[in-house]
Amino acid sequence: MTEANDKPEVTLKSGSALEKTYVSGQFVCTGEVGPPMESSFHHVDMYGEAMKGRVDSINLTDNQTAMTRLASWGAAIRLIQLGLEPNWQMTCRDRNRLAMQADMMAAYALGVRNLLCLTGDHQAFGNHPGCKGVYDVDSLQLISIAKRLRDDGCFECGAECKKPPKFFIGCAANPFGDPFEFRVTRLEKKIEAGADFVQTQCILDWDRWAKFMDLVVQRGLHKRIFISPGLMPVKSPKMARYMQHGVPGMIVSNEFCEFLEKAENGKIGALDLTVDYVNRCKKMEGVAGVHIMAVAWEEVVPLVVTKAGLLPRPFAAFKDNPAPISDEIKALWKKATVENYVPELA
Amino acid sequence: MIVAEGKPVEKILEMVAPFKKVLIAGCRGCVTVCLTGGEKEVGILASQIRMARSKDGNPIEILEQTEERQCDVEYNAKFLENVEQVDAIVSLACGIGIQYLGEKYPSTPIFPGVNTLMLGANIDVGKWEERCMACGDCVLDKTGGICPITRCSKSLLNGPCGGSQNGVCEVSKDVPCGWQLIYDRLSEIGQLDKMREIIPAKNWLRAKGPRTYVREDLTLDRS
Amino acid sequence: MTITNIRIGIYLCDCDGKVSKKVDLSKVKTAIQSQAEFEYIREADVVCGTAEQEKVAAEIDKYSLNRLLIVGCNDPFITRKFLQLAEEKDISRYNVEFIDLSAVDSVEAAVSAINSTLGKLHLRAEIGYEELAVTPDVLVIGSGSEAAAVAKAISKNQPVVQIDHETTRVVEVDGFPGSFTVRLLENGKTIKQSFGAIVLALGAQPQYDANKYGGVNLDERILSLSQFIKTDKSYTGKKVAFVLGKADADSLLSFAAVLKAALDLKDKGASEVDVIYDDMKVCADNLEQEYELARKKGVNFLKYDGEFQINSTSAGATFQYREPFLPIDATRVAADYLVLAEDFVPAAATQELAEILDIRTGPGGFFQKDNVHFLPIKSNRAYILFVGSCHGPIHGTDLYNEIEAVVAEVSAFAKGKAQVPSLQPRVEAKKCAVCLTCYRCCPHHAIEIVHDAEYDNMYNSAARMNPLACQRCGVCAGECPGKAIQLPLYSDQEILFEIKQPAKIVAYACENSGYLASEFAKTLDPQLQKDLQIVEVPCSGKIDVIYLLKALEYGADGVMLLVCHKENCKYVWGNNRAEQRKERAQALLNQVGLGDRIEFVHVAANQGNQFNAAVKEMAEKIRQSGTNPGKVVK
Repeated sequence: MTEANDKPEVTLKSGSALEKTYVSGQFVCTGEVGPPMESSFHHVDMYGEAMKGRVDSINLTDNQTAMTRLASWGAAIRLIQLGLEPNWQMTCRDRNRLAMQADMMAAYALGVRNLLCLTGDHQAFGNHPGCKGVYDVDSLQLISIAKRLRDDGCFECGAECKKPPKFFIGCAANPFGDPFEFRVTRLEKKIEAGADFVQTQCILDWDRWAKFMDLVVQRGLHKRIFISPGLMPVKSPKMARYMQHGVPGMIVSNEFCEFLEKAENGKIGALDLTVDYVNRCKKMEGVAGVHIMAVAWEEVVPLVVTKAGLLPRPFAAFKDNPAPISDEIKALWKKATVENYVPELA
Repeated sequence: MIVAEGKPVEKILEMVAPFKKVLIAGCRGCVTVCLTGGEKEVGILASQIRMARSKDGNPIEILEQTEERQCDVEYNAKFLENVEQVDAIVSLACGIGIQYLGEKYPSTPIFPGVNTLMLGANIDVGKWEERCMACGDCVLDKTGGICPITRCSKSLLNGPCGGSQNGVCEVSKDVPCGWQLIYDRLSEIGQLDKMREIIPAKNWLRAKGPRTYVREDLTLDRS
Repeated sequence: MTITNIRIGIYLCDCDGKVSKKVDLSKVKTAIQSQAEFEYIREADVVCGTAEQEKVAAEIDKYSLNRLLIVGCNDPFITRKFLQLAEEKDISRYNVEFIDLSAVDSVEAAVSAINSTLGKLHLRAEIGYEELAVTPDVLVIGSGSEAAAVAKAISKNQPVVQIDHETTRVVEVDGFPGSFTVRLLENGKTIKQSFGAIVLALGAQPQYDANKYGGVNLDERILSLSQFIKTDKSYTGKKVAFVLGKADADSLLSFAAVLKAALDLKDKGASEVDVIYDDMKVCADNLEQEYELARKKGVNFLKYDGEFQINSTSAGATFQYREPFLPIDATRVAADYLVLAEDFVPAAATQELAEILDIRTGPGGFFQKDNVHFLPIKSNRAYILFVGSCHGPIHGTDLYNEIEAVVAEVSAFAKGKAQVPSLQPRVEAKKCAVCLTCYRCCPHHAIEIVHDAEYDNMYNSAARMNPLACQRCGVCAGECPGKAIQLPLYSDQEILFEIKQPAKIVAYACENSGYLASEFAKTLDPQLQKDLQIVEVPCSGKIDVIYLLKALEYGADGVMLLVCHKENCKYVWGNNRAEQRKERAQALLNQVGLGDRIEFVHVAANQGNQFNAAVKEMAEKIRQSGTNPGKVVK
């Protein structure tokens, strides 16, 4: 970890806590909440509160796996209302460039500062498989659009935008996709297009991830973009094995599965493994932070970040007084038998 | 060529239900080549419909005629004699032919006997695959001769996305990842550096119409 | 395709009084005169007599008849006479029809048969003969003794070029029988040459399989049979033992070779010759005699049963086994040399040549599918032939017979020209979309796409069936989506004419199986076929989906397809195509609720009982589905 005064004075692009933390060279920690399939903020509020002061910013997924959910922008604004910092996600599947730029202007005006530009899972996966996948632009072109607005003050068509949105631009990378040899080049293309930070697909095969980072560091990409691997606590060994064999495109190592299988309490094992990965990441060259994506298990994020020694966060709101854990969250912990994982939080 | 498949006969029977005398119009072009709408299929559909209506005690008389194409007005003129005798037309041509034949005989209801599926290549007997979407701005020079608009499920111009695994698209294991194919081909011809370029956003006006194409240097002034 | 000026002469013959016992010919004549289209009709007492024949000849001239219908009998001797007469008068044999009245016992039946045949004559295409220039040269591919033998035999009548496909290789073969263009590669140079026929005689390769002998490796004392044969060595005063049975289980080649070698060794003064075998296979010419002779000359024949053990030292080799008849535990044969039989595997170039020539391989990877119609020397392509072990190890008289067959087959081109009746399918260019479907579906590689201004379509191009390669199966006609292809004698018009007033059950029967089975079946249970109408086709691959539908549309209650057994189609995959079409037709019926009305039956020519069983099943299906409600009444 480098000290803030080691770095020369840097002009911030968006001014978000996430950006400040990355730029300062301190280890970043972000969380994630999947918005609900209903017109209510109950879950967003509950999980948001639990992550208050415990993460730098929180991802809001955008119709994840093409299942229609409360819009990422809506959840993002809700988090702002709660005093939290959202990472707004936008897929290319659901909007054309008009809507994208329109939403960008609105979201920015409402206080959103971090934007992840993603391609999006194909609509065939979701609950409206017959809908038209828009794909007016792809993720690289979307990154360029966001950058052009921010740095050149103009829209994709070239017309001037007097008060342009200035986002801290994020993207995704999949070290487990094919062709493997090309994945690093693709990341480089995203850097060239203007991405500032990248969150990877969740790491369930450490060796392949290490290989990927080797190539990244070799090319010096870590010096041009901030890299946060995604880490996902996998609830059960059965689920890990299912993901290994039953989910196309997912690579799960035997090491990962075996660790969970050998653990006395599967759920504790999952948390231990995630904490272990956080610690490995801290020591890994090129890694600027971690992204805890506890999909369908958001309640364990406070446990993981505390146990992994990631607190306090340097720039997040409520960094000095993270929110107390609600009864509802504690009840969820109890149900998962992990209520004593971090005794001081129990 | 244009590839079409036959519509389910139940749907066609619904279309012609109110009519007593109908013409089934075939085409010797693409739909013959893709074994869907040529003279043989016209005969088969006619026989099937006659028997179905006979069974229902509501007989129908069906005329059968197949001409060169239905996308040229001169060929469509050849159907006149039969069209004058019937209450409706079922065309087995592609969507273009069905409409164009309809334009020639606007006072006779015209129905589609096929679903036009795609612009495809004939891989082998009975097997066709889509290769082109007539997007109006061909980028095959940049992608080693493999189309990202048709062969990538998301039509990405800068693929592959994160869902590509073992050369297979995330949508289905039967769908090869278009960008893996492009990557392999560019490697084979020593043009992998083309994948370092960022292709800018597409002008979709070229891909969606209604589109017209005019060659001013060839249009004929008949006056 | 319409032929104008059809002038039919009808002769109603009493067959010396036999017919009029059951059928009044004058009534038949009156009926025909009022209904049918023809040029001339008369009765005759014995129309095959010499005087009558002269009269017929004169009438042909007088009335310019170009088609004849002889009603009375179809005795082969008499039909031959008439066909000869017709040929003298320039009337093609395809324009002469005969009706046998011996089984007919009413005027109505006679009239019906006549009308039916007249219809056929009216619809039938003009079929002449084509004389084609062909190359008499034959290409023999192979380098062993079999290739040499067949090349020598053919060379007595025609020029032969023999290549080994090693120093000189076949690279590409284009064209059709009578004029195959073969591209050869010799010493890096490409040579193109034209051949009328191609004969493959690559032989089989011996292959020693140690696993069959307990993992024993060959060495100085343990030889493989091919090694033994190849090496020129003196065995005078030596003990040699041969082992037969474990390898080469499917042929007699090893037996023949070993017996020959044993006799030879004895003659050359070997001190002891043993043949150790598990079964003595002598079921081919001369092997039994050679076996007897060998025994007489003192060759020992020792039978082993089951396990054995082979060992060798620098001094000799031993074969230890259990003798099944003597009450001893183990017997050991010690010899100076042990010679082990080998398996025979396809020649190395088999797969490559199969691809170049578009011919099939079969069991064991040898050439030729296991289909009786190709035996012994044929491939799926006319005038591309196999001889010898390249399609399965053979020897002796079998080989000799194959050579004779090949010589006979290729002699068709010896004179540099071949005459063929133009019975191959005709393509109406106007309807041809050049879609390549027929080209791909032809089992015999007999179709080409030709370009010429004469082809009256937008491509100036159409498919064309080569008269020497085409085997007239009709698969292409059944596939054509544009209805551009018609097979003479079996055109759509002719077949639909046959069924325009169908019986309750219409059975489309392959002439190689179903049709013959129906004839046999009739003798077993004649009543069963009273509601059955047989429509003969050259191959079930000719049966179009539209034929199945039309039979029902015209009023049949059920339709049958009688096809050859699987993998036994004379035309490779005709019966498979028929099955696919049957599936489609039944699906089309199901879509409009017309019931289960199609029966698809694999049957062989001699399976009369199975045929009848199938008819009963069809009848049962119809009973369950009821009368066909889809019949279209005009």
